[in-house]
Amino acid sequence: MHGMNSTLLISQADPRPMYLQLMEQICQRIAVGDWPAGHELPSIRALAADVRVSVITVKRAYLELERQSVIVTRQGRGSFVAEGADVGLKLRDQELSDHLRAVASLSLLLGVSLEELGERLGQLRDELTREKT
Amino acid sequence: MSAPVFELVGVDKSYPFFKLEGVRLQLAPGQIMGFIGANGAGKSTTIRILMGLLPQDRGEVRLLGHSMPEGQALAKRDVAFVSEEMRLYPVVSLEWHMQFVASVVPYWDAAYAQVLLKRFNLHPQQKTKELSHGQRMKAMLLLALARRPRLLVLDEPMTGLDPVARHEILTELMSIVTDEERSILFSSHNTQDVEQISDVITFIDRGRIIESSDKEVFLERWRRLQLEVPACKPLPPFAGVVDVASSGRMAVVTTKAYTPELPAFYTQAGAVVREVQHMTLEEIFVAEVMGSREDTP
Amino acid sequence: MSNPVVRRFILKDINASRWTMIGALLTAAIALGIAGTGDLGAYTALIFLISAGAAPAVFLCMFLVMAERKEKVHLFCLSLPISGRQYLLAKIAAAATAFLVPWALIAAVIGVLVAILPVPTGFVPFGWMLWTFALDLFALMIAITMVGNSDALNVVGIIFFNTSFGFYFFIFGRIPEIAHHNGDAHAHWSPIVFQVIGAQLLIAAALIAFTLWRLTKRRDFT
Repeated sequence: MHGMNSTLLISQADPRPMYLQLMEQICQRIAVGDWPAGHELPSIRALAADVRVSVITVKRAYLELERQSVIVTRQGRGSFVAEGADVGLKLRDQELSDHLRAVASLSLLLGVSLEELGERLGQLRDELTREKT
Repeated sequence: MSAPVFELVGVDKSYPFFKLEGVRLQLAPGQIMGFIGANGAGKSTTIRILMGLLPQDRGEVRLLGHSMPEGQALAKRDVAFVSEEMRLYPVVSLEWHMQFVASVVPYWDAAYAQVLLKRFNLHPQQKTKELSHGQRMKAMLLLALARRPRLLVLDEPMTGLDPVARHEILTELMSIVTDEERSILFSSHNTQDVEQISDVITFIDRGRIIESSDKEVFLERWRRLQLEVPACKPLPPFAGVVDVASSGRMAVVTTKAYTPELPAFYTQAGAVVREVQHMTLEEIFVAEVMGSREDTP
Repeated sequence: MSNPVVRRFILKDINASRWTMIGALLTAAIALGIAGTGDLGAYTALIFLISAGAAPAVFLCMFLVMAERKEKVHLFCLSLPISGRQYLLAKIAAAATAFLVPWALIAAVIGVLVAILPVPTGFVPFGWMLWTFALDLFALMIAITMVGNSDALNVVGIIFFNTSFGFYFFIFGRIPEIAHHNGDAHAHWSPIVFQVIGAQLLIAAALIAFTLWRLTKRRDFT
């Protein structure tokens, strides 16, 4: 239909609420550029059937996304990815924050100090720069 | 809401060792209701009353606008029912059943029936006595789904099914809701099946409906807080907290009315909030039942 | 009934009973075939005829009523657009049809044969007594299996069925007015024959009426 065929996935193992998982995956699609500004999202019911999640969960995800201005819902016409390049950037920045947060908590768990963390990050960036050249 | 698909008001039913009391339940069109309860809680009894298999002692039951049990023949034109204890005629084939059902119902989608045969991997010529439990459930579901009913009532449809069969059935059930006018009521003692696809969740325990709400409302209202408490200091009460489990300096607070003020409240009381967790439907169900059992011994 | 759904249910049950009906007709045909082959033939024919006339009652009740309820197939039936009451009444209509058609056909064939063949007809009055007794057995089996809800009662019914003809012969076959004329060349219709047949028909009707009354009052179809 909109080329989406069950590429969105709700994991039972993921402890986060289903609507959040859904939102995150939709945001990823938008951030990566698969769903550009103006792209029409699948209807709530169609997405619910496709992902096998209750309609009310999809509704909630869409409502939240609209609240965060990531999507726009037009009465009787469906939901669309909101205009604005900053949407993409905002999302990428959000992605970075998420990754950093994960790194921070993991380092806490493993007892890795901030200094060591900084050193290792620096090494990785150097490696990546070398690979590119 | 527009006319509910079904409505039970003040329904009572008494047995020597069990009583269904004051059951009040309704479902809006286009929704899936998950009906959760322990074995013997009253799910099957409620469903049988709804389907006209059993008369209520008191109260009103309306199914698609028809008063039950008197109007059951008319109501069942648009309602399909599958229960785990139901069986098909053993010595005839699935094909025979398809033809028989098609001959007595107002609408039969033969093309969809063929699609389902393939999806469920069923052989129409096979005699039903040769079907495994999972195949039989899928066969009965096929006979129900191909009728394109406005309401599908399922009593423990997933019990005893392997994960693949469950996946196939869930997929097919969800495809129903793409139509805004079709609804599903399904009961289970397993909360995982229900949690995923239900729009409305109803809890029943010992013959009483404990709670019936939108699933997301449930999931948002309930939280578990992991606290570190200063020694010898009992936690102050807060509205909505249903359980506080302490062990040493750790405490786990369960609340059914979470607000963002709650962590701050406990911090002010001297505790350290380590974590605020959402709860699974199973955890919520157990907490609800335990709570209600304490209230009504 | 004019309701097409109910008609389908009745036809379904009659169709499921076809082998029982055919079996009854075949058994009767065999009986009539060997009836004239001496004493053993006549005796065997009698047993076969009784089976053909009465045994279908047990078979029909066993698979149309007992098995369907025990194996919860009735829940499947009741998931379709039919009320509990219609479902039960359809079943009685089908069982009665499946029983009466061979019963009546066999009686008709015997009647014709007796009329055109040069056989002694002394046995005819007692024969009719036996034949209408089969109606009582059918009505009793229907009442027990459809109104009663107990396996024990069903077993009692089957045992009664199996032993009843023995007792029938013992009680009614030895009544002087009947016993003396059984071997005659011509039928002797003493009043007691009509009284017994009349009473049997009344009992069958009463049992069916009782069954119908109880079924129309039933509201629990689980």
